[in-house]
Amino acid sequence: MDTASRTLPKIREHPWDWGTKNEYEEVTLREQPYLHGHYRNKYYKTEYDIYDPRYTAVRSSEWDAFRDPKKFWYTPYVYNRKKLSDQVEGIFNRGISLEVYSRTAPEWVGLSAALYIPMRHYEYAGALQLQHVVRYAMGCPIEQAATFTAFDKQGRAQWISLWGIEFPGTKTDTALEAGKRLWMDDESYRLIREYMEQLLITDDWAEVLFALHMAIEPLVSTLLYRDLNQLALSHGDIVLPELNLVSEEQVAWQDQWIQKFFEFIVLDPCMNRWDYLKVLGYENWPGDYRWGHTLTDPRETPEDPRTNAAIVQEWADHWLPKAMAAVLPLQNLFDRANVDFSVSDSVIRTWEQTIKPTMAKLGLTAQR
Amino acid sequence: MEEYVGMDLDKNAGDMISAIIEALQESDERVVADDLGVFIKVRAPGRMELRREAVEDKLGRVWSMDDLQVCMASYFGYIQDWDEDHVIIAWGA
Amino acid sequence: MNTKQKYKALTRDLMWEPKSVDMRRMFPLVAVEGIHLKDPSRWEDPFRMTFDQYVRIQSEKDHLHHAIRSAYEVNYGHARVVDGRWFEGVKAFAVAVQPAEYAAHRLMAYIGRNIPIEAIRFATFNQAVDELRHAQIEIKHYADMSKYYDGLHAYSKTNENLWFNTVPKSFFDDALTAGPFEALIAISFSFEYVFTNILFLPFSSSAAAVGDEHFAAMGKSVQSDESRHMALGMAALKMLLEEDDRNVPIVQKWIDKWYWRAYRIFSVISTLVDYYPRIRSISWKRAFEMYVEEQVMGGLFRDLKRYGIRPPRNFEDSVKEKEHYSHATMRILEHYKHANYFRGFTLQTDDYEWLGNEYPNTFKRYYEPFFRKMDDNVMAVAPPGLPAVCAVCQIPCEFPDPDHPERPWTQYAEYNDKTHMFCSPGCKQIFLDEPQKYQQWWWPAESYLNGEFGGSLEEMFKYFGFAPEEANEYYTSRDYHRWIRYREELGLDKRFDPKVVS
Ligand SMILES: [Fe+2]
Ligand SMILES: [Fe+2]
Ligand SMILES: [Zn+2]
Repeated sequence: MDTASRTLPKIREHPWDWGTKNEYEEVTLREQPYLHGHYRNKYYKTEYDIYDPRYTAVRSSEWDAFRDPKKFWYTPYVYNRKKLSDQVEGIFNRGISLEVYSRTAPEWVGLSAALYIPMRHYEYAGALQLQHVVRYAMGCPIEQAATFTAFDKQGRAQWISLWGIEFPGTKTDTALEAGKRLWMDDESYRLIREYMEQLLITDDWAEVLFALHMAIEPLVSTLLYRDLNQLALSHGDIVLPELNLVSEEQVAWQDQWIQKFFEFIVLDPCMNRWDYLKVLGYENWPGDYRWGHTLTDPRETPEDPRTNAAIVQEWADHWLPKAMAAVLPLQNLFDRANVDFSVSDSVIRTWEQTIKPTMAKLGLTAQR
Repeated sequence: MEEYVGMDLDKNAGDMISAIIEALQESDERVVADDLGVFIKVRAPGRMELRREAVEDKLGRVWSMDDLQVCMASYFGYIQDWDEDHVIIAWGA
Repeated sequence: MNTKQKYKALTRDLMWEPKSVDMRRMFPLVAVEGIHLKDPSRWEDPFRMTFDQYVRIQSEKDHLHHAIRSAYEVNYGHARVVDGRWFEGVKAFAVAVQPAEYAAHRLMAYIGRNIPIEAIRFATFNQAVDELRHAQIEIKHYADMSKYYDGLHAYSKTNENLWFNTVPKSFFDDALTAGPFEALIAISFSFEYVFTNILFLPFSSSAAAVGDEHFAAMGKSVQSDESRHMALGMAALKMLLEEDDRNVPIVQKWIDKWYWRAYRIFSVISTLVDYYPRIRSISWKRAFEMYVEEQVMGGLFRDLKRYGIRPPRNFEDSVKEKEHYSHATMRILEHYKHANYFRGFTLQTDDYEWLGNEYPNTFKRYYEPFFRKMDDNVMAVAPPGLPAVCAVCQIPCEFPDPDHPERPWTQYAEYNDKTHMFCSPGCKQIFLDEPQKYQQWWWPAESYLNGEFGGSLEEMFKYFGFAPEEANEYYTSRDYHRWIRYREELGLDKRFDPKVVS
């Protein structure tokens, strides 16, 4: 008998008691502890616990129940992004060898530089505020997706920088400096820059996800990474559209999980911040001796009488019109370069085809 | 006691490790290598420089400094410089 | 452009001075700790990692690692180690380190968000992603173990509620609630630079020696990321020291605190070096001398003198304790093994021999009698109830004074009409420096007394997430018998006499 091929009996099929179904769940669920944080913040929200449901206004009956539709955990994420990174390297190398930009229409070279290079600041600011989400969001399933999204954004900011240096930038960083001047001082970028500045002082982590990924990102990423591809090709640029395809692959995943996330929140009728403790097995919990049944005295932080849907609707009313207004002035750049393209067509199409239906699916309205 | 700098190299990386050690010792005979089971500790007083070309020479193939990250389990000292051609670890930088 | 210029271009000048909001609202924690920065933009991550490099290098590391892991899993590597008691040590490591990795992941994101220095931020963010890697590749090992052995199946519940787990948890909770610069010194410098070597390398060597290939590979692969984290810690430390003289006393205070804080959570690691492996690669004492005394104090702190930085306040105490540390800690673990989710074990003849030889000054005289008594009757010296623990590090206050090993080192202090208890002078000092913070700690014993864990022993174990049969002594446990059975199934119990073959 071949003993080496014997199958050993297991004492349990799944490693953890909470019914994980696959590898992603095994390494993601309940990574974050929910109880018995030792100390409270010394400087920021000093009354709050380390992982505290009050860092956002919305509530969940089970914070750990969110699932990334692509089931990214570290290893599959890194493998996948390595593939994308190799593609980008190939695109750049071919673009350089074929001297694509020597045959690209000069008005497009100037326009694409003015349009893409400043956006490295947009991507970077998003990544920065997503780090706030990574720290304060509830549960690993949500913050893990935010982590990879932030890392993607860092990556895109670097790809754009590299492209800016290699192609329109004639291999120096002067193109990046020019891009930053546009971002800081050009009227075309003022509103989008201010939008990101407002985002960076937004405290509620779920609101950050809304403002960034439900409002501005669909408009910006559709414009940059999809709608301009044909225009670029018609001017003889094959580098940027290929780079855009890679970026779009990242963005598609981000849109997917964000929509799932807001479904997860808006469709949850939970009105009590502490409900999530029940599914964690603390349904008969007498409470932490330090703060009682909840992490704080309920009189000090009363429950919000609004439903999750109403809260998200308020965010939508606040951020959506601002996002629309922020992207439209980019039209100036096209007009200046004498390139025929309508930013407002792109933006309205995204509004009609993506934002409105997404909001409708959540039972919410979108006003611009 | 002398102020040593050095690296802990993962033995799983095989010939890459011996090439790195040889390259280090060739440029500085004060480099010593101790076998500590799953890794090898290389150290030198004060300063240590690893050059890509020297490693390629020993290996007989193309080698990138990024590969060092895969096999360097740890180090001690300051990383004074790290680029595609060399790594310098030293004190007093 | 060469690597350096390109790295700069890709990672710098991406953030801007905001015009529509106040910079201080955007980075509200920059000034709260009294740190002064003049021109921090000149600092950089010595590794000069970019996104593309990161995903390439890391996916290569993961390919190598997961190949070893899969082979280990399909070949039942767990049944092939020289002694199954090793896995009790792995369980201890699991719960001491893996949740800490996850906490470090959240912590590095916090630091990166709040420190307005771009080059350091990209390194902190790489580290935030690395720490998630560590949490996940480590938990893969425990997930596989959990299918064959006790104790791990309610992993995170145990982590939330068990007295032992408060030790590592309180360490990272302490950093997570500190200001961003303190957190950076706490983790990147004190934890990563001073201690991670001793965390991963000796235990990996032991893993290889006892035949746990998966763990050995994991330790080395994790530690290869730590090299970057150490470099970040050094860069951060030098930046703070060189930016402004006023930072020096603040940084010294943090080094004092976090040295002892980190050193104390390594107490359990000392038992994993000296006790759990049946074949050891090195002793705690020797590892401490090599990694901490020689590399850190001999090298680094000599170098830091020119900034006016001296070795950490309680450094000498840790040196004095090196011949006692693992024995005193193992004695604590043995004391409470009936209420812990990893087991103690009866020392074997070869263990007594090794410990006596490695620790000629202390083991036989102070510790062997205790372990002998444990052998005679497992419960003979088991105390009732739960331990009285240190209000800072939360380890039971049962460390001997290294100057007088027959006396306890326990210290007391009054604060807010309450007597607080500490394991050592180092912990007492830390408490007295920030009593408001430390008086908030969650004390499991008080929790039990207040009924949070129910009224009965059964309910208490339910809360811990494991059954009493999963605790106690290894060689009389069901896990030991399982391990023997697995080996029989695989034919590993057979012995072949070499003479018969030749
Ligand atoms: Fe780590
Ligand atoms: Fe680390
Ligand atoms: Zn203590």
